Amino acid sequence: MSKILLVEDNEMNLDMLSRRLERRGYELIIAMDGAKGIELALVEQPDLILMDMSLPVVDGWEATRRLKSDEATQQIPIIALTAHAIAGDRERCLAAGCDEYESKPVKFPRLLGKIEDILGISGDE
Amino acid sequence: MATIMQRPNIDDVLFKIINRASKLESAKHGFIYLVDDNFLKLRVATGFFVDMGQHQLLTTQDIVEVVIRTQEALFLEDYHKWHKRSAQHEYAPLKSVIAVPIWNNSDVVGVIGLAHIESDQLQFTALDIEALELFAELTSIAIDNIRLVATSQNELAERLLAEQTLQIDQTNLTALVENTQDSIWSIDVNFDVVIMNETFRQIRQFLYEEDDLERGKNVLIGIPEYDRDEWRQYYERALSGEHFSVEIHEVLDDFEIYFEVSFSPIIDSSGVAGVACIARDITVRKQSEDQLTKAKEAAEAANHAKSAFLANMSHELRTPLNAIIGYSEMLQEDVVDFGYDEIAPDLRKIQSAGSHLLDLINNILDLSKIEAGRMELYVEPFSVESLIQDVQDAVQMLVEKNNNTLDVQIADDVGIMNGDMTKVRQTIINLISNAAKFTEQGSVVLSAYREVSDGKDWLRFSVSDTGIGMTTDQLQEVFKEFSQADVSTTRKYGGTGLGLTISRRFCQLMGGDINVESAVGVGTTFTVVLPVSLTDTDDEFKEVKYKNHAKQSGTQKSNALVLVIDDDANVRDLIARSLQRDGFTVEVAEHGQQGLEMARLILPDIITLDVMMDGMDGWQVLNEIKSSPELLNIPVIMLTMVDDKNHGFALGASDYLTKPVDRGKLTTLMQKYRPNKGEMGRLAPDKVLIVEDDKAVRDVMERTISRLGWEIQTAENGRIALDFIAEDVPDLIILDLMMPEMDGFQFLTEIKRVEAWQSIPIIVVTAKDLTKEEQQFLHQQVQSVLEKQAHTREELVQEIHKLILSRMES
Repeated sequence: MSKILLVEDNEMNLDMLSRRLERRGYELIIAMDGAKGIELALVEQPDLILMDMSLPVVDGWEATRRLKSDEATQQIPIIALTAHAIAGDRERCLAAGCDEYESKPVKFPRLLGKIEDILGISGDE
Repeated sequence: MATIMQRPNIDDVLFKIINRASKLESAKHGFIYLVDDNFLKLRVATGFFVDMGQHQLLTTQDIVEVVIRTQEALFLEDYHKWHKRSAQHEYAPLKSVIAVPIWNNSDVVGVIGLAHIESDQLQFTALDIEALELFAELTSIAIDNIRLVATSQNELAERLLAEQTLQIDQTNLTALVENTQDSIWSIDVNFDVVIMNETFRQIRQFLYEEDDLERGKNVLIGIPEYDRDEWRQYYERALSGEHFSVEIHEVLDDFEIYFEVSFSPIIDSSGVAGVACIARDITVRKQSEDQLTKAKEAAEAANHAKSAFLANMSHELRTPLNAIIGYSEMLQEDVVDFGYDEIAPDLRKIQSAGSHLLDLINNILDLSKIEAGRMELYVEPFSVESLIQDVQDAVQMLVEKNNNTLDVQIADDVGIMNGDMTKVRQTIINLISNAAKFTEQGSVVLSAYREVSDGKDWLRFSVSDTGIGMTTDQLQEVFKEFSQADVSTTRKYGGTGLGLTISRRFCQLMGGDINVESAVGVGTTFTVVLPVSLTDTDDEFKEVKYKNHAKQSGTQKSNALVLVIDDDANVRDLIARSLQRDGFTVEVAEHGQQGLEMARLILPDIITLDVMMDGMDGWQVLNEIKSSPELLNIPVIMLTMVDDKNHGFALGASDYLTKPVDRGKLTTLMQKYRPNKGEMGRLAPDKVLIVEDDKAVRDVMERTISRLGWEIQTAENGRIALDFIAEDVPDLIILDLMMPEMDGFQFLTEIKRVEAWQSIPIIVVTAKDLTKEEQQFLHQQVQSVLEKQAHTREELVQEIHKLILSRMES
């Protein structure tokens, strides 16, 4: 069973995403700010991270950068969730080291597809 | 000689002299010649010489010329027996002639002469000559005197004139100076005031209450301490010969004044004699400028606030909507699971309304941004084919909803577009979703092709449908906000009525437009026309200067501009000179930072880059180049030469990627190296060999590339890779230089050994933001290659040439 770390500060989004993912059989770990997210990533070593980019304490950009530059966590794929959808966001995400990018409001089937893509291929070795 | 006074006439004097001489000598006939401007002029004549009228000149010319020439007295007893007598004067009645030179200092300035004619029956003697010589002296003195008087008279007259003029000027000047509102004053070298006007006095009194400055006093006295030094410095500057202006700010109790003061050195024959100053009150101007600046700042702040508001609103509005849409989706899933199917339709309605609302909000926010001039363009190069593929994926379901078919036609030469990908995508999706909406059981065709028009390259995307079509009236309104045919249309077909408005504005922002053709009951075609590459056509958007990588015409070698970045002066020179000899134009940079600045400025055709530089490392520079939109398509040749060891190497990679690998960039690059581009029904798929030891990275690359239709082979290290290549030559190699177990550079040198493999394009993967260890690692790799290879400098330069030439041809 794949473990997903969800870093999101909005409770409703958190609720919706985590429940729907759990229904699909994923194990969910939750963090509500960037610092906590980094910490949990290190400890729990999830198979995938869903990172909301606007977070308190440490924002998603910084958290992604740190995770990607730390040997212990850099191989964990990160899908960025961003609400801003400003031009250049996609590039910023990829530049920060994200492997994928999904804009909010999240189209759940599409996100699911991306998760399966990433986990499906490098899942079981 | 009392007659010599008011206007001395020299001829009068000469006449008097010759008359006296005539009388004294009892010689009725006499003449005086003076040299005037190198010409001999007869000034006065008596007796026969007068009567002769015109012929006088002729008569005495021969005599006078001889005297002038010989500078001696001439005594002729019989003129007609004189061998020097002029032939013309055969019949002149002259008998006896005496003529002597008139001296002035050491020059002969004239001749005085006397003569007897035949009928006089008289003769001259030596005594007569002596007397004549005295008269000559007298003439000389008289001439001098007259000249002296004339000169001093002239001088006097001139001086009087000058004084008069001065008087007028002075009066005028004073009037001007006194009546101007500017302060005018001047000082001498001792800082004493020479001139000052009333305004100056008043301003001084106004500023420095106790001031009682006047002519002759030191200008600095009276100025308070804190200002005095400043003024002293200005005066000293001017006294050193500099002419300049400054702005001076004086603050008083309840207000402030600004002056613009100009200082001009006064120069006379002895150098700088003083300083002339003019001070103008510019307070009003300053205040206006201030106001203008403040207004501008306020406007900018307001604009910023507006943008921030828009951004916030966007977030605030979307968040609760997400909840509405999300939960209703979830509930629909629950409903199915728990068997409450009858509730499902209601939930669908909630979700649908939520989505619609979201669309509306997005559109309105987009429009507000455009209206506020805050819509930015993010310009980047991207593959048109990939974009279309992406669009297809996104609209597939939408098209199928009404049982329509989607047909995609992409021309072979669509290639790469330099524009705002997101907006182009949004526009095309908008057009297709409209087409799908208004068509049932029909077909939607999306085609993309290039066109040259007005000397520019354009890309055309057209969306055709066999739907309900539009009337001429509807066509006219189609791009306006909320202008769907009527309310019932909206209810039946959905949509926000804003999509086309926004799409068109996007296209216009990008320097293009949308056209539409339609016939009721037949169908509609929308065509988007956009420039292939966004350059500076519009001030409205941010543009990026970008060198079109798809150069149709190969660059002539002789025009090619090479930028050489190397911190070793010798190496730099060597490469530069040898390239220049080959006809390249070369620019050089001494270190990474300078190299980057130059590259951005001159946009070279090729860059050679030293891998091992102090300061900004070559790899960092490479990274910067590959991250800069305007530079990333310039081919880079990495090299290094070790001066003393006669070792060098050049890395002729075709392109560079940095980790973490950006899929978009990778996709673009893959498109670029597609050898069988555009051939329909390719017989053999394009083969790429990925040499990468890190599984995760390999996977990402595989996933991305497989979507593009390449056949992929992977090798974990160089040895294996070489084996693969030996069996089957790939069309492209992707090589990770950061592999810890394996020498990427070593692999490259091996490849170069085999002729058949030399032309395989290689994309090299390095890392962004290299850590110290990574830098070390790369350096070590370079070192080891250097040790194994023994390229002499000449060989290396040859290599560089080859690499450059091969880049130029691609």
